[in-house]
Amino acid sequence: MRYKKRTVLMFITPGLLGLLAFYAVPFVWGFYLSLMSDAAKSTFIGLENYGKVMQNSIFVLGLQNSLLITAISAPICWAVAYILAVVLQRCSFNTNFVRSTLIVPYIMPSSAILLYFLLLFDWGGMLNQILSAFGIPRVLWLSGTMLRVPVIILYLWKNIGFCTIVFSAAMQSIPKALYEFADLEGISTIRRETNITLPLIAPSSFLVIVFAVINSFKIFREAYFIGGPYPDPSIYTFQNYMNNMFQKLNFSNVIAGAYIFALIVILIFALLYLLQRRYQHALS
Amino acid sequence: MKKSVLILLCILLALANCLPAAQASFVDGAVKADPLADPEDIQSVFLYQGQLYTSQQGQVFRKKTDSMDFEAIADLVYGEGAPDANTLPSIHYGSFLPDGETLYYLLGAHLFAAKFENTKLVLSHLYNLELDQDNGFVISNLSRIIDGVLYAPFASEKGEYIVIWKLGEKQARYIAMPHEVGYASQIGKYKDGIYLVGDTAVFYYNGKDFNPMFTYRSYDEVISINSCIVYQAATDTFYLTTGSYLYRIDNGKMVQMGVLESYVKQMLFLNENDLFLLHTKAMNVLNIHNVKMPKGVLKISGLQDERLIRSYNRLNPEYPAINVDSIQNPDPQMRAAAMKSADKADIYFSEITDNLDSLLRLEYIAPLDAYPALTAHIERFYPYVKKTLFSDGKPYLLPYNIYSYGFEGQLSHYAYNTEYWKTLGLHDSDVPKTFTEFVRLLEKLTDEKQDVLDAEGISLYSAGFLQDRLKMRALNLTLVDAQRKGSIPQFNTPELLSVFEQIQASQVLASLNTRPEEGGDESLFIETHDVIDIPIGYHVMPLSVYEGSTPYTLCTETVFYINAMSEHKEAAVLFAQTLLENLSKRSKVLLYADAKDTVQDESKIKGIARNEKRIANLLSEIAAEKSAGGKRVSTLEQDLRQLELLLEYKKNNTFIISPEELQLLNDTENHIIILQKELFEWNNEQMQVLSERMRSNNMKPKEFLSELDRMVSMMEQEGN
Repeated sequence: MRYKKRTVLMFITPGLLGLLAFYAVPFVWGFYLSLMSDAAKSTFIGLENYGKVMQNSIFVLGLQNSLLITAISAPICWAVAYILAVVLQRCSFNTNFVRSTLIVPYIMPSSAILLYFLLLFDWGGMLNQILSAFGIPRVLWLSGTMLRVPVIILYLWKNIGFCTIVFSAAMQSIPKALYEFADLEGISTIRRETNITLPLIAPSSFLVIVFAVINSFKIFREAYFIGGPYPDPSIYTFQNYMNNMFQKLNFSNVIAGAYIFALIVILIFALLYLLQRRYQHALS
Repeated sequence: MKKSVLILLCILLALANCLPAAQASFVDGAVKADPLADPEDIQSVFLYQGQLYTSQQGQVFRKKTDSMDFEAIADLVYGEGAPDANTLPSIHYGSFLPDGETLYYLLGAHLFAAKFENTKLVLSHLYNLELDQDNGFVISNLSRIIDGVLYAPFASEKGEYIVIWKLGEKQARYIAMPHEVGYASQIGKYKDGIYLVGDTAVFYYNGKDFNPMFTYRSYDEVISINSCIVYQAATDTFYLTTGSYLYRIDNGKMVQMGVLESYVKQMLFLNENDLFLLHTKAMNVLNIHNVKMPKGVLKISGLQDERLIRSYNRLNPEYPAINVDSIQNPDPQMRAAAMKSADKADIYFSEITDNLDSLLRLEYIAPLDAYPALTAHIERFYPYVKKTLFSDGKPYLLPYNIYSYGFEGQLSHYAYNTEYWKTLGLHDSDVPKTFTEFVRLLEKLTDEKQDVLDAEGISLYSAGFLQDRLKMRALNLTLVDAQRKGSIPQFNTPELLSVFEQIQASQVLASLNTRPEEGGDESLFIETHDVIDIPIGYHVMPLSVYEGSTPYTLCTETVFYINAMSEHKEAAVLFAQTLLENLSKRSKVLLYADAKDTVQDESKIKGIARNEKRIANLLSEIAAEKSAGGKRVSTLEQDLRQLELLLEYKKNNTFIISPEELQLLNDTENHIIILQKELFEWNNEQMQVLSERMRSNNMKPKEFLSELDRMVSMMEQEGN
């Protein structure tokens, strides 16, 4: 047994060392720097940097936008991907081609598709033409709060496919006999999904929501392509702030901002994890 | 008896052959060209019979024994048997290829024997090389003749070759150079073959294979590092310069020998000990045994004028300065990374708008308050220059130059021609004070004075896109006005909107840039780059955005600063001191408020002299071409017209800072603002898209101005 422990230790030590050197130590060191007046100076100022950043209205705006876009886009992504996976599961024909196609947006660079999206949502774009055809007034999608719509749609278009594949893979592991039994019992579709599918794919569902949340934070890329470093306030995200501060070598703001954001992300994932644990506990 | 006479005759003949060919017959003053003393005028030199020669514009120059001057000694002329001159390139486009006692001249595909005859160097046609000229060309300046064999790099669509041709033989051999050689930049004699300098390594070609001997730079350094290589057969040693260092090759490895004052264009061994170096801006002879590594080397980054480095080096041979690179990247991250890297420079030159406050915040720039030799100079600067040098009450930066600043690098300093002003019947009261007045005056002149303008040949304005320039300058001035008041700039105001709309609605079609140097005429209004360097006959015309606003002249400043992490701070301070002492003598733009003497711009004076010389050479070439009935007369005359216009422009520009100009600077002191950072990133992509949309009328002025307000407000909130 002792021999086994030593072997295990031997195998995980390189990984642990890497984790320590490249994640744990920088994380702690970064936190230490965030308590200093500047990255290059060594005057201890406590939480002053955090206070300064939290009082910055544009940082708060960026944070609010990032969280709002996440709150809107991640659940939609999760739900649509789930529905699509169910539909694919129920299809009588071979869906391999459809599944392969779904992954294409995920691997396609955002910049390549952005121009198309901008044309689509422009004042004279296809979307507004459709609206006009139905007698609905045109919408200025590319300015003001409406600018969030194309950004979120771009995000959904990119991520839904991947999430669907994850759901599909999980659903395929559910024994078909369970569904046949449910059909014999005459259970409704909603009950079938909530009582059979969802409980059995709970870990994968959690994984999908984690992916969806993480990718929603990366929406900055699309926002940057659309609006540059100072886009419309509706799509000015937390990462815009970080990027602009980094450009100006304002490291203290960057570090403090990063830790505030890290804390929020940790809290979100802790909450999700607790919810998942409680859900699984309730099921068992 | 007969035998001894024959022997004596043979000895005499041999002696005659050993004498430098017809040296005694060179008559001083027979060739009228001025001596060449400026290394910038000399492209390359060649060593023939122990003496250094160069050529220019069809004349041959020889280095004087007692100085670095090259005096004109002979004219290049064709001798008998030369092909029709019309089928040849101009006579001065060839290359001299000395081989022992014989001097060859390679012109296009023709090889000549060159022989001095009094004040002429006569070219006798030897061979038409008949190389495959249709599909490639011989690089004549890199060719060499070694022991009667011509080695010539040959570039063609198929690749790079070395042409090897034993003089007189029927056919040349084409040897394809291996891929690893790259571009052959030098050929020389080495043992029983040749050495060939490739992109990164030196190869030995023994008639069969190309063998790499040593590597002197990496592929990454090919563009950035200039190298020069020479082989000394007597000691079987290669010497090379890479950047600003001299090396020798020892067992295939580069051994650093010393620091050179600047980049080397060419080097040649005059004898076993003396190495002649032709730098980009200097020439000197170096005794190879006396080269020592100095105590330390001061690295300078971004300085364009190497004369200052030479001034400093003359005073400090033990701690010479070298220009390590010319980093002009304003990206603060790049600069910060460079300043703390292992290859860091001790002194950096950059624009003051290059986000230097972030470097100051990081304490990467050394404070100068501990060096009274430098702070004494600071006291003498103009007040608006002086205040840019301080941070938290301490001096950190030193000025080098100032010039007016505009949007996207456009010029923004306006002046009017006083003579044309009178011709058009205008008075002092007509001088516009605001941008809209300026536009209205241009419109009025176009409508009412077109006949006078046409008759007198006056162009209205010397730069294109007037409307855009005025609009962008109006934005800059609004920005600075707010900056000075300590408020957030507001662009979308009724006043600015009105200015924008009036400028946009104006029908004045400004002509494209027709500055005299580019072949245009003088015009009524001009824009100039320098704060003080206004052409003679023009008056400065400060324009305010709207009535009541201050007509600022916006400037940017080139500064230099000492790296706080430098290990050679004392030497850096000494360099800064040398520079400041030379500043009032050499700087194009005067920075000292208390300077009383006139200041000459040496580079401009030199430029005028060079231009005059080029015109004289071109005139003689045209005369020769005309007498020979050549076809190139009209082309040469066109070149002449351009040169004459350029000369006129240079002469008409002030190159001496006069007391009147000093007075002008003093008078406009309150209007000169040096922008210390780009509050607004005018040049970012987002801004460029925005202004492009406005230019192409896809965005109304109000929309544009409110979008600017939004962006500035976000920047302000971010904490800029």
